[in-house]
Amino acid sequence: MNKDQLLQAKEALDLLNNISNNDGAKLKFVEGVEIHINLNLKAKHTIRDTMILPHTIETAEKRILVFAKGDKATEAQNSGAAFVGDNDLIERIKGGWMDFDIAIATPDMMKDVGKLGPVLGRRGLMPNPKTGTVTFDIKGAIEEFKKGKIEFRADKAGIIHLKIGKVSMSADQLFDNAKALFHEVLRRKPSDLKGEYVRSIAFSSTMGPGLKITHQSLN
Amino acid sequence: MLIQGNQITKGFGGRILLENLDIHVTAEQKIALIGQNGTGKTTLLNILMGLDNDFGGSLQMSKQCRIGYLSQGVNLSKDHTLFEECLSHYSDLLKIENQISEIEILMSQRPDDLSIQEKYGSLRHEFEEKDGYNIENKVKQILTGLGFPEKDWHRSIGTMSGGEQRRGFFAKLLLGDYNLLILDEPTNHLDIFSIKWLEGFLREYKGALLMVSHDQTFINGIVTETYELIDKKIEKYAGNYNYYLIEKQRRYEAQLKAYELQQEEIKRTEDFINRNIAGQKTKQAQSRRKSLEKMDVIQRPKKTLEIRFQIPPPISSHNNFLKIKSLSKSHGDKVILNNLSFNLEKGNKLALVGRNGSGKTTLIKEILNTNSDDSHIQKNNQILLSYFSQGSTEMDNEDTVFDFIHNENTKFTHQQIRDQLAIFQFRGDDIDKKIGMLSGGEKTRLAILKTIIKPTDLLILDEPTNHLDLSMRNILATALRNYSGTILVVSHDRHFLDEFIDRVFLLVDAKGYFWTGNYTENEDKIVEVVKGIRRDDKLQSNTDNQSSQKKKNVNMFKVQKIEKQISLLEDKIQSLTTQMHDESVYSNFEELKKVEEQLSHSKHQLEDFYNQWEDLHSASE
Repeated sequence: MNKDQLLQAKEALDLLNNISNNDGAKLKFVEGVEIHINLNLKAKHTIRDTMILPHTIETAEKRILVFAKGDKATEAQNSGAAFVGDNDLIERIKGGWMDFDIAIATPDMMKDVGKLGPVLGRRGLMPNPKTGTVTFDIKGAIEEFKKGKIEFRADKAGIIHLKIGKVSMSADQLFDNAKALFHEVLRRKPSDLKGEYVRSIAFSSTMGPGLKITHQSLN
Repeated sequence: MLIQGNQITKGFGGRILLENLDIHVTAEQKIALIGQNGTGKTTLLNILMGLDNDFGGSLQMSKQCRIGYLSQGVNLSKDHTLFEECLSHYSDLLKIENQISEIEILMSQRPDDLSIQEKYGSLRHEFEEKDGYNIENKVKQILTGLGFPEKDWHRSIGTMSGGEQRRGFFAKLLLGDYNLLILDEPTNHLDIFSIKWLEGFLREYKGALLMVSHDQTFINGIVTETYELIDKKIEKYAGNYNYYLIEKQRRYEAQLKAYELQQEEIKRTEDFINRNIAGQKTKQAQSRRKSLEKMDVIQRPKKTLEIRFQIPPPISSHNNFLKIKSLSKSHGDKVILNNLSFNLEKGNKLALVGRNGSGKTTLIKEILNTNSDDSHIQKNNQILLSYFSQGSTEMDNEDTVFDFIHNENTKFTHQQIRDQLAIFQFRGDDIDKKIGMLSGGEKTRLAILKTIIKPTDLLILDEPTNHLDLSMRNILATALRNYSGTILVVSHDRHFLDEFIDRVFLLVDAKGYFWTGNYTENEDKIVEVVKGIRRDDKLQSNTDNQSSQKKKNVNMFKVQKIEKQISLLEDKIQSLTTQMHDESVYSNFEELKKVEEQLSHSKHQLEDFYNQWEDLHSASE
């Protein structure tokens, strides 16, 4: 098979699963499946948002930390946040503690949380309204993350890299996740962009080859 | 293509420096521009930078080209601290960071205002995309790499020395978002460890690089191409400096061969023409004459002269030159030298290495200024000592270059002095120039020559290679290697040191560490000590080694004596064997018996000497 050959989305996902199930027996872990969408963006364009994939990727439960005071702190605790607090948590983090996966803050806490910019920012944990992690709707935010809410963003080269599942999932489930993401990306096409928006799309497994697919096969 | 210069021609005061020179630099090219002092390297860089528009030819620069230029000068805000000045490169990111902080306060005051949150999200995203969280780390990494200790990061630039300011300027340059770095002698003012760090940084650098450097190890570790500025043009070599040396020799040999073959061809053709121009083959002869006239004549290649400089041999027969025992020195509360001990004996060639400010120059000054009754430094006053350090040599501005050297060594003839001056690039009318007219670099070269032209037992050289080009560094290194006297040298040029030193004394945190061998042989251990990884097996003096060295020297003396005896006996045995085959001997029994006895005795003696020789050798190993 030619490495530049364009496949149909389902065909590519079947192939990835087959390759992994034949060769992957040697691996001691279940490989992830990623999608790579290469977009034609200008420097001024930003594609960054969150969404919930139709089929949740099974992972260890995310430890959610919430910066909030008063009622909002109680709301966080009741919604299942692993850690809730204000200045006490800020001091712990300043001291080097980082045992959490997601950080959410209420807008009124941002004055103090902002001081953690270099510490949280470098690990991609800084709360940001763009990702739904700066909000008063603490209960809603925690629920969404528990349901498998993921963040997608185009990097400097204009490419979105995102894990859409594992090879243990069926090709149909992987296809549904890829299609849902692709539609979200299409919805966020910058209004002032001229010409082609999506340059190319490819699937790959953690240890497997990259397979290019046609845009139409995800529509 | 980032820069393209075509047919560049440039001269000064009637002297053409560059003539119809073509050069181009593409993305990711890493080029060393080499050439002797005064060939026009900096002039060419200024033209390529667009700083000098007064030249013939054309220059094209891509719109995408963003040049970072390290010149000999420095342009920094004296009021800023070093850290502030480096951070100023990221003024756009710092502005975003300030806006973010302001909005964070607003968000606390108006938590329900979604437009503020929207703005915050966009700014935070932009900050992350531009790697804003890492700017301080980048600054710290580069300042550490270039040898600034943390305590200096927040010092005002105005309080820094010229060398520190140049390093600060360089740090700022390396932080910039450039895709072409043009560096004029980047290793100046850097210590050996910063040079090594910079070598790694530039090797990994993703943009293009064009640099002038006279540090052979540094060039070899970075560049993929070497451009030599010679005879007003660029000669290109597709490799580093070592490749250049091999390829240049190959090109010379190939051109010489082509030249010789063509000369033979010309001679044969001329013979044919001379023999046949008036004969039956006159048409052929005329035709060959025409082709000879049209022939592209190959020029005989110029051989680079192998210049050798000889330092007069030492005079003293003393063995002990210098003994340093438990030497300590402090400035106020700061300990500069802490309990140092080492000996320097006849013929030792010691490199003193350490970071900038580690106390190397202080130690040298202590040695130079010591009194005869100093209990920590015992200097043999019967030895002749010569010292070189930049700016330390007294010079009369009214003296001419020639007189300055002639006054130092009147035993040399005028021609010998001219020859020595020529090696140090004072040629023609230069030697009649007044010293007051010379540049800083020229004065330094003259001061080095003055230091090494007179007979001396101990040479102390503090950074002698600054202002010396590659060929001069090699000439000086060879001269120092062949010099039979004693040397104490401070230099940051690893190749230069490796050429002649046989021991290393490292100063770290006021303490000294001693190893035998050259720099490269000890580099791993040196780096480990400097990084603080290795301290336990420190050897703070070489006095123990010196005693074993003394024993070794005695053994070596005996070995030499025995080797001489062996040689004499071998000659004698050879001669006796030849005699035995002589008819006058083998036909005379008495004579034959006498020769046989002598031969047998000599063979026994030889065997005894062989055994002694073996014993001494195994004892000295």
